[in-house]
Amino acid sequence: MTAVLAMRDAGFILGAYAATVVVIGSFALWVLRAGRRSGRLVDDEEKYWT
Amino acid sequence: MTPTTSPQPTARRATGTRATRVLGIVTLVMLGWLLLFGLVLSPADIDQGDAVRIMYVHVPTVWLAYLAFIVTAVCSGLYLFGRRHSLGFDRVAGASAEIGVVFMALTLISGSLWGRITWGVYWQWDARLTTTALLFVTYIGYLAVRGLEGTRERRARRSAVIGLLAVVEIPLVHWSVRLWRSLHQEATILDTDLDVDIDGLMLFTLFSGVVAFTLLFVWLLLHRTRTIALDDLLASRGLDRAIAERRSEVTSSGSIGGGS
Amino acid sequence: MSAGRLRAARRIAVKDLLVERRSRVLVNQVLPFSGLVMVVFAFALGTGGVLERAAPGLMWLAVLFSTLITVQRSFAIETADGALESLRVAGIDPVALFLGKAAALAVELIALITVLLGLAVVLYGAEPRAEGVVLLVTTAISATCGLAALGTIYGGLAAGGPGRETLLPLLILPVAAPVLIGATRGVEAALGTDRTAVSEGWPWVGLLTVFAVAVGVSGALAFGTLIED
Repeated sequence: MTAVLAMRDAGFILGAYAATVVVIGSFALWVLRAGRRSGRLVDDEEKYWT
Repeated sequence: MTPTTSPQPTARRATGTRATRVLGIVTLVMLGWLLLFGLVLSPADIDQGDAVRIMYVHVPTVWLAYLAFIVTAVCSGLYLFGRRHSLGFDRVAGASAEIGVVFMALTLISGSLWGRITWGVYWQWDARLTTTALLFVTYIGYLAVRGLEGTRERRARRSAVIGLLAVVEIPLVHWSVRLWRSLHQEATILDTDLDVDIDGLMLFTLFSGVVAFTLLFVWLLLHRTRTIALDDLLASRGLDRAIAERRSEVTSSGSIGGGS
Repeated sequence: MSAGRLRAARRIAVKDLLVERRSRVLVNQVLPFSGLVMVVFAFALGTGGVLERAAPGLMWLAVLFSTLITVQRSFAIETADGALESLRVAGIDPVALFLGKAAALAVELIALITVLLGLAVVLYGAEPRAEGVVLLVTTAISATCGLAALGTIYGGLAAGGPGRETLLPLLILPVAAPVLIGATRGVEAALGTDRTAVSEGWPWVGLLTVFAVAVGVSGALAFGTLIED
């Protein structure tokens, strides 16, 4: 771990990874939450994937 | 369509199934694997140093973004020219474009951070970069068009046309930007920098990245498409209910021609 | 292309130009706006060599911005009294509608470009040269056709309902890149900015022509669907 932090330009590199993880994570959570919210209002027979 | 007052409401599941759950877990494992290899186990590049690590997220996101836009274009075509005009294709097109825009944004972020390390500047007016930025904005426009009001079919048809127009316009944009840069480029910095002499472990890491992000794309696409389907269902149900209410109003007041 | 379709397209173009001549929105509002843009560029960039070198690009930027307003205007006259609706109900072919509106837009843009070119000469000191006149005119015409087709495609969509005005620049600007790049380089070659030769401008005219044809054809096919509501 210390080796990772000791990289040259660690801030930029870890920043790129952090941005990727945060953006994708929040997008995925948003999609899942929206699906759960709308899924509660619809009967399972109407969902083509069930 | 059954109205909301169905006698026995069933389990009310979200957009997940056993298959997507397995896929999601595999995706998470692969992403963790990518972090491990990308940040820790893979070596630094001889020329680029540690900056090459950014490539392991940058390259997969840009590939998947392009793939997402291709999926959007293909599904737009299938919707428009398919015999059944299945709204399913429209949903996949919309979901894919959204994911593509997210991935493209990540590509631009990680790319500019890489550029800051390697070139000393965040942005270069290189043909590839410029086209990518324009592509990004074009699909933001596409998503804006998807958000316009109208009946479901009209929205789908309109979006499909915009999605296919992008296919005509993007190559022209790319061509013009390339002509522009080829005449004015002082030094070809980019061409040498990206053809790094990749060693085995680095190639493996890049490959893991592509696999991880492909799985992620499929997982996101499945969930997002289903969410859109749910929203469509709810929207049409809301409309049905509004019509039913209006009708009962009219019959109870006893005047059929009384409405506006 | 049938003769009837062309006749309908011409009628729509004539109608648009007639409306414009009566209302004078182009002369009274768009033209002053684009002139103002040219002046404001000078504030931003400062006088001296920069303005003269950037003159072709600045001129086309002003054209692009004015195109956005002109397109909005062109479709505002249609949607105001549900005119687009009645044209469609009357069974006007969407291809003819597209061609007619694009043609009227092109005529208006050509007028605008002529004035802006004059302004570029006066304000930025961009002197035209005799050997570049043919290139200058060809560039202007091919760029105008592309812009008019592009504007008409998305103008029809953006005019379809309230709250869609902001959509127009978002849809047009990214794909207008070929026009801006090609037309700027073409005019640079015609004027000899940065000691460019006239012959360097012709490939750009090729680009502009391909763009105009591709966007024109796909727009004619797509227009019917886009104005449906």
